[in-house]
Parts: sequence; structure tokens; C-alpha cells
Amino acid sequence: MTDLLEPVLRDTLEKRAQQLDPDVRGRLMAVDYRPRARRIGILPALGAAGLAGVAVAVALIFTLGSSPPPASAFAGWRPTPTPARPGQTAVAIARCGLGRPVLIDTRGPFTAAVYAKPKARWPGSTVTSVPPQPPPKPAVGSCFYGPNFSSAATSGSALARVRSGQIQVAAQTVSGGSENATVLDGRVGAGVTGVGIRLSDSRTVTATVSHGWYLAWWPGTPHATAAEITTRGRTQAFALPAVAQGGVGSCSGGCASIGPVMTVGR
Amino acid sequence: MSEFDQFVVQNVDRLLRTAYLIAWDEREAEDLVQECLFKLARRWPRVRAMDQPGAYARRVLVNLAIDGAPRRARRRNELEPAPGAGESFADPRGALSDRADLLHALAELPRDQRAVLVLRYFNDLTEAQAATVLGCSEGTVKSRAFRGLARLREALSPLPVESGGTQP
Repeated sequence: MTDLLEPVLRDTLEKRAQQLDPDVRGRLMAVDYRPRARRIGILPALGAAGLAGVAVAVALIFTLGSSPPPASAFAGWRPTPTPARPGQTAVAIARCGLGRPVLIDTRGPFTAAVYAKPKARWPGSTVTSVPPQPPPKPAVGSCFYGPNFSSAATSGSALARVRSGQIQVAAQTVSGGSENATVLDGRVGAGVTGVGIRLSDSRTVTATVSHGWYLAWWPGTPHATAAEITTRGRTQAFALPAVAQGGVGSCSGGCASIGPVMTVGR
Repeated sequence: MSEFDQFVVQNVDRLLRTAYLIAWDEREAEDLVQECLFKLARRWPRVRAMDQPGAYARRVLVNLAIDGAPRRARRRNELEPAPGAGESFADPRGALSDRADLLHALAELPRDQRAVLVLRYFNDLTEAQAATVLGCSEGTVKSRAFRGLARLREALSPLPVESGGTQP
């Protein structure tokens, strides 16, 4: 006699396999698997800033293409988030290797993502991570991916509770080689549906808002002068304290630094 | 469509299902197949010259699934609930009340044992073929399969039996 385990096992495995979400196949098919860059060096420069009790460490990996770099490391950036191209976010998420983000921001060819544990607070402990080593338990992390500024993973933690109608502001300066970018991100309070960041050069950068978080970034170091917070269809501008207006520490050659975290809003 | 793209179209479903059954987690399966395809793309001139590129892809995938499991598990645990946590298994037919138990038991198997069972009973490989995929001996495949099946049997109430077969 033979028991029925083996045929039942075959049947069970087949049925289990059929439960796969068909969208997964689509995402995999959309990825461009061709080698896109030749990694010539890893520059895990760590920037730790201790302003106002906040301590954050950041690690970046740069991959430089075999072709000459374009005039700007951030060519193609847009002040308003753009729809992701097929496979764009999947590749970035895979390269970042931090799991499922709570927010994905795409601007032209660049993808930024925020990762957070459900109850992550900010500010918090100091952590560092240098992929491909396993990230050491980041409560909050963000990751950037683009054609020239190829991959950057930041790990940090922070943020206390944010009130309804308010946003928290954490400013980072991230280096894309010879150029810097400024990043503002943090939690949003209940009711906040939109965030815009006014810059010192009169531009406004529209943030991506998702799952209680927002993120906006821009090339260069124009200062953030105000945050436009939209709550219940009404937008109000709030001046950002001087400490958030850029100047979060010098950064060059593959590093990032993060300034203090603050809360603005009504 | 490039030759590599055609290869992906032809193989992605089977790779994805195999990864899903070994990892027992959809997101990890997606990551595994993506990493596998990145590796194949980099080595494509060599892979395409092989007799069975699909078999090589499966070998790369299975070894990624087994060797990289601790690293990926650590990453997931840092940011997300454990895969499978709270997952429920339905038995839509209701014909076998042990189906859900079997799924639970499969989910709890050590990954190397589950990989052997997936290769043997989902991919229909012989023990020798499974050994080649895993880079181990046939004896190792046999022992992992034996232990895996034994654990599944332990987890189940007695299954119906039929006459006429021989005990392996």
C-alpha cells in the first residue's frame, strides 16, 4: 500500500503556485535586466550629524556608468512627481533591498523611497548600513535610485508624534558625486493631503504624500523657505525655521547628512 | 524582442512559481526571480550557449533561495511582519480536510527540505536532477525528501490509503 501524501502534495503545491498574484509576473516582465552600469567603486562615506540631539548615519553606494556622465547628475529631475516608467520602481526597490516602502517618489528617472516600521519614531537611534550588508534594523530609511546617482541607501530614525494638520521636517543633503541634492521628508499629521516646499529660488517642489509620510527633493542647495500644507482642500504656507533652510552640513564625495527634525503647521 | 527577453517570457512563470513555493512568500519570490534574472542577464552570452539555459536558471534561483534566505529574512524582519504571519489557508474543495494542515506543515519545513520537495513534486525532477540543481549528492536529496515527507506526515492526520502500490 502507498499513502496518498505524494499525489496530494503535488496537487497542493500546484494549487499554492496558482495563488500567485498575476501582477507579479507583469512587474518582473517590465524590468530591464540588461546590465546598466559598471560598478567601479563603493564609497561608503558615513555622515553623522549630531544637531539638536539628532544623530543619523548614512551610507551611499555610487555606481558610475562606463559612458561619460551627463552634464548634470540630476538631469531629468522634475519639481512635480512624475508617473513611474514600467519597471522603474521595481528596479529601485530591488536595488535598495529594504523591503516594501511606505512611500515612493518618482521624478523623471529618479526614484526615492521611504521605509518605516509601522510605529517608527523620529528622531531615534543612530544606525548605519552599507549595502549589500544587511541593513541593521532601520526604523526609518530612505533610498534613492537614478541613472547617474545610481543607488543610495540611507538609514536613520526619528520623529515624534505629529499633530493633525502638521508635518515634520527632516532635511538631508545627499551627494550625487560632484553635485548635491536636498531632501525633505517626514511624517504628516491627520488630514494632510498635500505638501509643497517653496525654495529660495522661487520654485515650489511638490512632495509625494503616502501612508502618512511625505518626501520632496531637489537638485542643488536652494533653501527651503516655506512648507505649503494642504488640509481639507485648503492650502496654507508656513515659514520653515532657519535650521531647515538647507545648511544641514557640508557633504561631498558620496555622503549624506541629516539636520534636525522639526514640526511645522497649524 | 531580444533573445534574453524571449528567454524571460518563456521561463518567468515557472521560475516565479518555484521561487514562491520555496520561499513561501510572494514578495521574496519576486525579489528572487528578479535577482536571478539580473544574474542571468550579466552572464547571458555564456548562459545562452548552454544546452538547457532554463535548467541553469532554475539552479541559480534555487541556490539564491536557499543561500540568501537568512539575509533576506533579516531584512524583512526589520521592516515588516514575518511572511506568512496571519496567513490563512483555505481548502476550497473541502475534499481533503488536511489540505490546510499540509500547507501549514509545508510552510514550517526547513527551506532546504521544502526546496527538495518542490523540485521533486512540483518541478517533477528525479533525485539525480534535483541533486544537480542543489549541487549536492543524491543521497542528500533522498534524506531531505525523506525527512520533509516525514514531517508532513507527522503534521497530518492519517491520509486515506490505496492498495496496489509498494512502499518506497
